[in-house]
Amino acid sequence: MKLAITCICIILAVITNAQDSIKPTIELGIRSQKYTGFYTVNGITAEYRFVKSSSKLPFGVGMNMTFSKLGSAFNSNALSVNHYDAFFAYYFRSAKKLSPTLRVNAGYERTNLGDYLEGLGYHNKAFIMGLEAGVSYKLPYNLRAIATGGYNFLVVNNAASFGSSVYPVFGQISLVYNLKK
Amino acid sequence: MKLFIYLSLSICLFTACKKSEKLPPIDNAIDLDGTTINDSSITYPEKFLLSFAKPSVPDKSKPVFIAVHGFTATTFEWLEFKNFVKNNGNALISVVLLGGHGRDYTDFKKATWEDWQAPIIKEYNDLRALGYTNISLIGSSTGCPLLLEAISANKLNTDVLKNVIFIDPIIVPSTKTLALISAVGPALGYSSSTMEQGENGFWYKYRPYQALEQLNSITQIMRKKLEDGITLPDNVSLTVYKAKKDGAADPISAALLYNGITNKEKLKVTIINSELHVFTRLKGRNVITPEDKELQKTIFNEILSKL
Repeated sequence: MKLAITCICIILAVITNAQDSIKPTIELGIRSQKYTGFYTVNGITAEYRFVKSSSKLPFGVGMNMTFSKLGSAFNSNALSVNHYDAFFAYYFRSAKKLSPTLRVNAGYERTNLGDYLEGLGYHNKAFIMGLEAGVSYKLPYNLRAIATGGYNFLVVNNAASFGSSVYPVFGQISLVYNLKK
Repeated sequence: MKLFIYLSLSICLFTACKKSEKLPPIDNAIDLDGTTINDSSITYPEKFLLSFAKPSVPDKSKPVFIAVHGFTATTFEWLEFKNFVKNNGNALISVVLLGGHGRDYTDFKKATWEDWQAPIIKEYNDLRALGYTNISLIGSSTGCPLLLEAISANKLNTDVLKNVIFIDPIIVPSTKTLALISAVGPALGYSSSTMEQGENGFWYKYRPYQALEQLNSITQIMRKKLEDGITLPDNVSLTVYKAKKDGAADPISAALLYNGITNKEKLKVTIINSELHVFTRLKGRNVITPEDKELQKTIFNEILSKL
């Protein structure tokens, strides 16, 4: 949590110091995430990136919202898992077409255990922090693809949790469209 | 310099990925993993398997339990229930040793989950062939996905099957990194487990990665089958007992079973106020509280009352 707050402070400081020359770009897209050995969750992703003059600054902030109901639980008996996180992304060689990227995520996951177990007072919620590493690739038509592998290094379940459905390792692919280019 | 770095990295990667075939430090005098100690059912099958003992039973409709233990365990896990059933006198019991289990480390390492499952199917078929008409299956931990897989894949003719009872079924392991075993296992070779004094010789102390891969495989198969939905045969009821905290089988396993069994009227899930994995087995544990004993007795009586 401290790390996430520090990251946001750094970004705000950079924006404040260079406000005149920085223009934001907003990217919106879809994200598909697969936990190794467990569910696939699909949903949306949004990223706010900063452009200074003609070159991009090497970072962005954003959020992901993914749901197993759009993945493994679609038309199946898998549990309903809702995942929300905010992220800070750093891009190496950010002006190039292919750009390696590192991300820090902090968020929340809620698993619906079903009427019976929730009726007994069990509610699975977890605070999660994870790291992702991968690449971002610029595509035609203002599109960008991001593929990363991630590891949830911190999972804190709430006291009323009935075990945990959070798996540590995942892979994800996102496709985003730049709305303000 | 660059060449040197690339070469060093390549050597490091190659070494890390190389299969580790080293044997664990097995103590033949006390470890089940060794070549000296075997499960008693291998030496005295007639004391464990009804199909082997062939007792004279005039009424073949008398209820019969087939008890199935979990991963790395032996028939010891069901010893207390076996004695309880025998003392009760209203039912018979057959305790099956999973394939590849109860022998030495090398046999355990070689066995697949289908090998583990084979003796369960054989005992059920043998008892059915002997004329028993009221059979119940009771499993603990990994025994549960093995039983459910056999039923859902129609490996058993379920016409004489009445009840299926699960104690702490493992559908999702508590250790989620098990999903990575195929990637990291070859470098690790095996993992060690800490054992309580009275458990020595009854559980494997060392878990070869090949066996962990099989455990990962059967749990993954069952998660997928439950996602697709499993319908129990009309004449079969399933009862699940799940401890609310469990270091081996994640309690969420009960939620997956609850969601995945389509005919809910055949299913009963009971959450148990315990933190022991397979709370029905107390023998061999260092600390047994009066509450643990009371719980065991209550559940054993409840299971017998289902017959």
